[in-house]
Amino acid sequence: MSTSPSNDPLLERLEALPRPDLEAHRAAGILRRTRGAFEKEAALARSPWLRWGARAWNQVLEPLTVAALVLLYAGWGLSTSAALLAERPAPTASSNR
Amino acid sequence: MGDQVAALKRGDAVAFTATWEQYRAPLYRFLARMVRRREVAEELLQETFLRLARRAPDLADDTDLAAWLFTVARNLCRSHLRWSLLEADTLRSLWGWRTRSATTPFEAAAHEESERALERALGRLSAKDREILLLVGVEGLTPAQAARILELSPEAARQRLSRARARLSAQLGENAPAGYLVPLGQSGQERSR
Repeated sequence: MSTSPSNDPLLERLEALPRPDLEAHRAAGILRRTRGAFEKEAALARSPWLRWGARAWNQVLEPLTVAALVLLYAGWGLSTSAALLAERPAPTASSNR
Repeated sequence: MGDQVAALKRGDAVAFTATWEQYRAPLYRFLARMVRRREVAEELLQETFLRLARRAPDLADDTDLAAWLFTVARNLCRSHLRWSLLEADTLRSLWGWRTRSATTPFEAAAHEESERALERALGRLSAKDREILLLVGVEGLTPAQAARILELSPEAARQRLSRARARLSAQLGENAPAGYLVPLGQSGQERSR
């Protein structure tokens, strides 16, 4: 048996489910933030060089800078730890007594 | 639709507000029923429109805005659901500890028992089944639009809708018509006429 959606009661029940919306103050907050981002992006779009620069910074330079800093910090941490461990005097027989 | 996309590409803030007014409620309902938490749905809704704000200048002229927005929302949802496996509530439920009941805001707001039962049954479905039923059944997108959003072929979307419908019916303790298949290109609006 084949049923078309026009006489499918289950899909009609789904369609008739309540359709509540966001609370007004929350909706206003999200619109304000997203519209602000849209206007900022639109301003950048009017200047191709600015837009190119912003994209280069956001997509390439900033991630590379963060990755480089993390690597530098991790390298410094490892070398410092290694130096501290190397400087510790080995326990001698007299110190064990 | 084409005018709206063109205006968004030009950076017309009025067009952005109009897009928000047009799509915020359907997107919010979709997200809330998918993630089942109001505050997470609001965050994902904001992220969806932030992505529109950032990518508006690059939209293709023939972009189907509804499909584009629902695709972004659906991808954010899937990402959230993947990470939420690590959330405390999920871990507690995996270990069999007592956890709070996951009711959607809509389940709580449903006036009739049949509506609550339907919301509960939707909530028990897998994310894959739920998303296609929400897109086609609740939000009235065409199965072809749903196929684009879910990155499926139209035939695969039709079969998934059919299976999801049968599982929802089983959750409700009803008998699904055997061999039920939704014809392509029929929207929810057409269905209700």
